Amino acid sequence: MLQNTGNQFTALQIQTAAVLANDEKALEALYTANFYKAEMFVLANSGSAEEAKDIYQEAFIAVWHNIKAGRFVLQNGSSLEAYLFQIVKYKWYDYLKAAKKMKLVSVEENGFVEAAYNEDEQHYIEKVEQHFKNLGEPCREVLTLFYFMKKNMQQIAASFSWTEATAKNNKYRCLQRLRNMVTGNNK
Amino acid sequence: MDTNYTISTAEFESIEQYLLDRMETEQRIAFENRIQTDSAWAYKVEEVKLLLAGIETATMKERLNSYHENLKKNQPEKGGGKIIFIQRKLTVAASVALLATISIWLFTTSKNKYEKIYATYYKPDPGLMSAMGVSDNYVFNKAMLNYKIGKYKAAIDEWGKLKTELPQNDTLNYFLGAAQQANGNNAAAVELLKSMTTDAAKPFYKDACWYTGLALLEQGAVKEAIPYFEKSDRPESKELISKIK
Repeated sequence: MLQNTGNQFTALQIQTAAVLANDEKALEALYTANFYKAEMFVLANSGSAEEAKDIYQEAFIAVWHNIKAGRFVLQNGSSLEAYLFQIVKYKWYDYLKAAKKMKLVSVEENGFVEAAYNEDEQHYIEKVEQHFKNLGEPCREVLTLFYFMKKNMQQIAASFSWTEATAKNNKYRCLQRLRNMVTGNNK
Repeated sequence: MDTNYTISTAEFESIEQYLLDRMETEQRIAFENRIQTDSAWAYKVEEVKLLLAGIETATMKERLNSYHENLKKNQPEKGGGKIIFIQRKLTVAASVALLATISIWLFTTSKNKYEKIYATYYKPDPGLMSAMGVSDNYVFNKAMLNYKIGKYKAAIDEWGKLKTELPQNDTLNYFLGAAQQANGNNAAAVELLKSMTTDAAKPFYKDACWYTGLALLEQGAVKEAIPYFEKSDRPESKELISKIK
């Protein structure tokens, strides 16, 4: 778990920065700290364990997107854990309403605004996700290391025993290949 | 979305610099002015933004499943109910059978106790990104990537192959042991990790002591585990020892 090591930053600021940087420890700690509470909530509100997992992961992604989009406002007394749990609740009530398992939500008004894409953009992102799975190992690794794990080209080159120039070329080739798969053209 | 245009490598590079916030102020202002005045350019920027968002989201979804698997793996077992049920059924059985049941109960309870302690304290080693002396970087790091995303079996297979070439490599032995442990095979983990606990000058010495202790504990070898916890220097080792003594 992240700790506040100085007087200048709060633990929440450090945690938020770590989530923003896709720090694996911070992400896993946030996931682990909240899951069972969220599962209990869903189970207690007409849901199954499988639905709890799905809604929790959906809420987690929404929190992560909102942090990236600058929509999570750091305030005294707020915590990412509480924010995530709140979103689980909103999403679950929305799901129940949509599935007509609940007639009216009067207690919890959905005040959560998700960093959203329009339909076309969402469709494009989903295609990227789908084709990324079929991209082939070396490309997936290079793109994951650069865009998710935020490694620099020097580190990526060292991982693959490449020169930096080769790593850079390969990364763009992989990105281009992925784009071609998504758009269906070979330009 | 109309994507019937090309994006050159130089364009990709420039857009990426902008999206990853790696531009100088002047360069950024010029870039943003171009977005305002050149709609074709604005389209390209928007598309690359979605492409990168898709890559990150796809990776994040994989990670979430791996965190979930770890969570379930570390969940303390809910034992005991079955045993009570069995005992009830056996209340009129012969004394020999009753004694046997009690023995099984005692054994299972103590086993559950150590398994629960193990689940509380065991967290897989987070892994490395640099090879640290392993000559075949690509193979080693490919396995490390699998290890870090929770694909322990794949990591074991890849590091296992590498071990035939580098049987004495400490980094390799340590992480092969770590992967075996994360994959639930503590017997194999002990064999690999123990070799790292004989010399305090070896890399990973303290971590190897900690994980060897945990692997032994999970197998019920409590007395054997304690010296390893003592040597590990972990802040939580004293508390753990007090729970098992």
